[in-house]
Amino acid sequence: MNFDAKQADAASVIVPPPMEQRVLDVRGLDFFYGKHQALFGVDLPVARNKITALIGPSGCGKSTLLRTLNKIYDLYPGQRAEGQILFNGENLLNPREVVENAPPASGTAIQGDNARLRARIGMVFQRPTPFPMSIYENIAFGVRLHRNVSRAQMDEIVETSLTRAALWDEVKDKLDKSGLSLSGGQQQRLCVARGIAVEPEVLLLDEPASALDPLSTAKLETALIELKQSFTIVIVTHNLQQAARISDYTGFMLMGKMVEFRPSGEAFVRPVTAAMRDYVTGRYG
Amino acid sequence: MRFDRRLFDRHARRKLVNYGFVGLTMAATAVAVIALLLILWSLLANGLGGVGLHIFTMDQPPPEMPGGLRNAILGSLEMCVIGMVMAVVTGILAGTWLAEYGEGKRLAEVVRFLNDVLLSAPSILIGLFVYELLVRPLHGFSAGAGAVALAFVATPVVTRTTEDILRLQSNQLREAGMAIGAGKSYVIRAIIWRASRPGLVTGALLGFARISGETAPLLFTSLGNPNMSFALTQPMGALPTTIYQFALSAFDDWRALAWVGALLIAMTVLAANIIGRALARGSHHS
Repeated sequence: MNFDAKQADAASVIVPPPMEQRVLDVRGLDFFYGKHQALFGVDLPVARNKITALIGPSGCGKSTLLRTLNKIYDLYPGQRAEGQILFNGENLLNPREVVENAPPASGTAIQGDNARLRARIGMVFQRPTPFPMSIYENIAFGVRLHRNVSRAQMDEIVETSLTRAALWDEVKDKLDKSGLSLSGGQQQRLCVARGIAVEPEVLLLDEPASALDPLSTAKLETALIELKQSFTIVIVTHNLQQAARISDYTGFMLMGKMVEFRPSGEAFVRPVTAAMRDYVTGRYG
Repeated sequence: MRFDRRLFDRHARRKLVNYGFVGLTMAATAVAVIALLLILWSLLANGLGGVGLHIFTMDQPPPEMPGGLRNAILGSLEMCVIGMVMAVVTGILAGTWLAEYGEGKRLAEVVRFLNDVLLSAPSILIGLFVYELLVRPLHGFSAGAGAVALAFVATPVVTRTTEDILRLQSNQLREAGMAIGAGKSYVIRAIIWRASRPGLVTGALLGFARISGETAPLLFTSLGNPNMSFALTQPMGALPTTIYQFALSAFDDWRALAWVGALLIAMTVLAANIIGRALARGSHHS
């Protein structure tokens, strides 16, 4: 008991997936909102075809970390990231840098092209964000940005994407209805379908279930576990049970630092850092 | 006992002040509503009797001859539509720039301020400005100059509503568009504008309502024309200028026609406002 407690006082413990399994690898990432630093030397190794969950108290930087992975923060002047986000054999934060030991290139070079990057790293937000158009067009919108497809091919893409997001049966008879006419849970799965229709390698989800009821959450989780077969998923969640249920790896963050990163089974049963143990047992704060 | 009475006094005083204040606001509202109803009533009482098919089929007459307002109605319509096209294009683009690209920029603050100034500028100044800009250099009053003057009046309205409406759209919607790989301007055109459409239409309708009754900008530009004309290079009749001319005249039938014209404008403005507001309300629900 005493010995365990001492071991648990380790400041940070990272047990990453093997190098060859990684598709995305964040190393020593600092992030700034203007002068305010929000992330401090964060590492995040993301394994292919696994679900990686990011947990931690509000303001710990988990959403910030997620938002650097597809560089969506780029929209806002004053926000900047420093360090390495390795993907496709490149450092997304510095396209010219020659990186060794990075996840190998799996497609054409990105070279700082955000459109190309976001075709391969998709994102689903906290609140459902269907576009103001039909269900069909919601899916087709993203596909058209990146590929030229025939009407028949598009029909197929729409059906497969909605099926994979576990929404097809509910909407197949009203594809021409507005995406805004769906319930919150359906809208969120529509956003997942929209994201995967572009065939990204990685799908980022920022608390996708926080605005959903338990039943909708269960449907979304089932869909995510299925999607793991084809995509790599990184999910930020406040719901520890959710992280434990669906994730393969869990990263616990606190005050802008990655405190504990381990396979989820071990991490939740026996957190090794005092901070994570306090957090998962509800004693944080 | 003393303590209780003071407490009671305080409550009583507060209640009294409250009644007084509510009474004042209600009185002020009543004054505004009654004024509006009186205007509508006098328009209906004086104008409704003169309404008939001939108003829309005959041009404005010489004194003491039968006639209608066709040339003025169609002239107003033509200049307002052309003015609105110019105002909507400029206003939506300017409003979009202010809302989407102007964030934190000094120039955006200046533009926004100038737009607000223009929004409340006396329209006769705009008429004089366009007179100097187009009428004098081109040596003649023209419907084109009238349309431009109306556009100057409507543009700030459209700019302002566009900016306000676009700001109501959530940043997450913008991010969602970018996150799927679309560029910023495409997200604005394909998603944000579409999501804001009811509001943008409202802005245009409010702008239209604003200019359809403007007289001052037309006096120095399109001047007025008793004959039917569609040429943008010639003076053109318009309801406000015809009303201005007829209402000040000594002829009873001209004054009767002026009342009809005023009624038509009031109804148009009322309809545009009601439709605009209904659309705006609809957009909040979706």
